[in-house]
Amino acid sequence: MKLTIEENKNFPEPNVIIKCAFVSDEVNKIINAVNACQKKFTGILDGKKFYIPLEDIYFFESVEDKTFIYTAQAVYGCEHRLYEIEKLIYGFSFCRVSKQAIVNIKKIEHIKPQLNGRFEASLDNGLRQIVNRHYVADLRRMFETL
Amino acid sequence: MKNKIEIFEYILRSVRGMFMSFAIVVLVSTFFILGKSDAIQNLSPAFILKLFAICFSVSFTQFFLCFIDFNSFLLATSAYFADMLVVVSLFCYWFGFFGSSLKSILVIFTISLMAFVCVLLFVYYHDYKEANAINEIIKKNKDLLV
Repeated sequence: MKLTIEENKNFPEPNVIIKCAFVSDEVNKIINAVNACQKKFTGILDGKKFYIPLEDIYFFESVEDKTFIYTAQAVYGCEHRLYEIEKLIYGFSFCRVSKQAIVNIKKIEHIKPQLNGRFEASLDNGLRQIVNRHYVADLRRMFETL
Repeated sequence: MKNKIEIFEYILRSVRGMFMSFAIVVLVSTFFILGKSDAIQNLSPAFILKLFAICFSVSFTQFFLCFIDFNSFLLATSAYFADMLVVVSLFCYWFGFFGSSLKSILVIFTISLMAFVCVLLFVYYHDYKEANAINEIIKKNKDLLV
């Protein structure tokens, strides 16, 4: 694959043009990556609204009917419910790992089993998230297609 | 600390598991222990009561495990445990522990506990292999990106 980057101060914003014979899986991955950069979620912190790029999000977690967005810097509140988020981010590198959480699989460093039949995913910012065994097959499938 | 709804859900799962296991044990006993030809004649209320005593004592093991470690309860109510129950019942039948007396129930309880530890180790080994396979994919993906 050939990559050409053209830098010019006259361009108002980055413009990605893909030239290809057909849209292959590889091209689809590029499209998803570009979309992920553009897709932003509204997070609320101290009453202020912030627009968080999807690629910066580590995981979404639901605690007592409230949804939170975890990034490397902060934890934001979110107006959407977890099942709504799941629909919104379908096709991106996010996977449901339990009833309470959706994790960005690109941020997972490794996973390890626990004696209670669950798994624990360690993220690259040091946070950990429980993976229910019910979702392990989906997680593996997502890693294989990443 | 688990909330009341979760505890209620687990208790419901346990009761459901007990009755499902009971149904499995009755079916297995009918067709494999008694034999197909004289199954109906030998399936007396006393025999069913004995089967129920076995299921009840194994279910008590589930509650006991829940009391020790709440997380183990998740595994205790899983399909592995129902399968194990059938094996324990057959084992108890062949070795003459089959009965509704206190001694029989205590013996079944001990065997169930030992069987549970075996199931736990088996599940852990299986999960360990699964986690290793996923970690390999993660490592491969990271190496490709570098």
